[in-house]
Amino acid sequence: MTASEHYQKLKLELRRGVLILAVLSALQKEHYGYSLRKILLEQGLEIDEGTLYPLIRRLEKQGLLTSEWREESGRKKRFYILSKIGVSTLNQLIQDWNQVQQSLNQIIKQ
Amino acid sequence: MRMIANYLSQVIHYLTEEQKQEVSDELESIINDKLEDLEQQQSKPADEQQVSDILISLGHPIKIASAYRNDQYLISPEFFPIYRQALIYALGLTAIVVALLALPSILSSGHIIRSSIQLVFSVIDAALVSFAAVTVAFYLQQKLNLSSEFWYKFDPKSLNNLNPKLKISRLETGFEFITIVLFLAWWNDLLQWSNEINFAGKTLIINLSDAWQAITIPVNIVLTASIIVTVWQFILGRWQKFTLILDSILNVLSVILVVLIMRFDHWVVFNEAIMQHPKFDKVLTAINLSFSISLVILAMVFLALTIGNILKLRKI
Repeated sequence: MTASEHYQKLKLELRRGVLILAVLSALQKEHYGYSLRKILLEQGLEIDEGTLYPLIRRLEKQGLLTSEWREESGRKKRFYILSKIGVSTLNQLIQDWNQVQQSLNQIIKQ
Repeated sequence: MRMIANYLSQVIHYLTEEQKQEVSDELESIINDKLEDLEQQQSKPADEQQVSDILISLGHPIKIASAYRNDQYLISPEFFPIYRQALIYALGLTAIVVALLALPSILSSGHIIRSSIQLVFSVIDAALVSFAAVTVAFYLQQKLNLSSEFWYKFDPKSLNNLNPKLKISRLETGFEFITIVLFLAWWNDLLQWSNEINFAGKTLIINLSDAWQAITIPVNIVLTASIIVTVWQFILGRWQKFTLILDSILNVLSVILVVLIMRFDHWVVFNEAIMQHPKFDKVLTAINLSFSISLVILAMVFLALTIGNILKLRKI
């Protein structure tokens, strides 16, 4: 395996780890599937669609998100937003993320 | 559009009943969002190729449908390490049981090679059933949401030493297994042994003495026990205290049997025609010498193996 192949593989693993945090954070505001993908893309986080949409459904099943079908621009869309449990879980995850980031930065600086 | 309808029908085909409608509705909505976005950008309707590209970007219907399903794995990563180990033991035990059950018929069939090939297919057959049974058992544990913790409970005090020096090469063990099985077949065939030799221009017959009959059963028991130990070692891939002790006992028993054979009055019996020949003494000396050398070598090999086992035991 070349260095580039190693990098691509590890990059995917790294992103997979932070994917849920990114999705939960973005869904502090209401989004439908496609708009969520676009907002993440605008922030520089490209997520495979085949991964993102099923993930949102799973998070909703787990009770971290709530959803409702609404009509917008003449078409029905499913809008997602963080539930109460989702908000508190996200806050805990953000704290963990900050700690990990801090520790990692120190390790990387060494 | 027919392409989108076909794609959605393919996706929902792989989903559970309760997921079909909601996933189909949501994917259709996402596809339409993407189309709308594209058409706004290019200010014209999307062509067939662009619709196809959108569907390709979502992924193969099986792949996206499986991402919506909870059962992503036949055996989850949590269960896999213990499943793999259970499979090794189950397949090994299956092979032992099938081989042991087939051994008497192989040895008595008179067609050892043909029977051995049949045995290989019987083992493969039984192994497939065993593989399926273990897989289904672990799959059900996951389906019933049973915790895997039970499998991973351990007491550090009772852990075995996995010293790399105690590892056994499976190739060597496999070779040992085949050697013992062939020897067992040869040994049971040997009892009916009757050898024709060309002696001074005549074809004469040499038979084994009756003394060999007395050790037939003990030798068969030692060999069968050795086969079981060898297969067990093949499964484990390493020496254990128990198998080392058992193997040493079998080696000591083998030495005793070799010594008993050495003490036979006669190893072979000759017919009168040879005994009356003037060169008979030379033939007898040559046969006795070859038997003695072979038996001494055999005894030394078993002793060396026993000493090796004792040294290994000290490492455990």
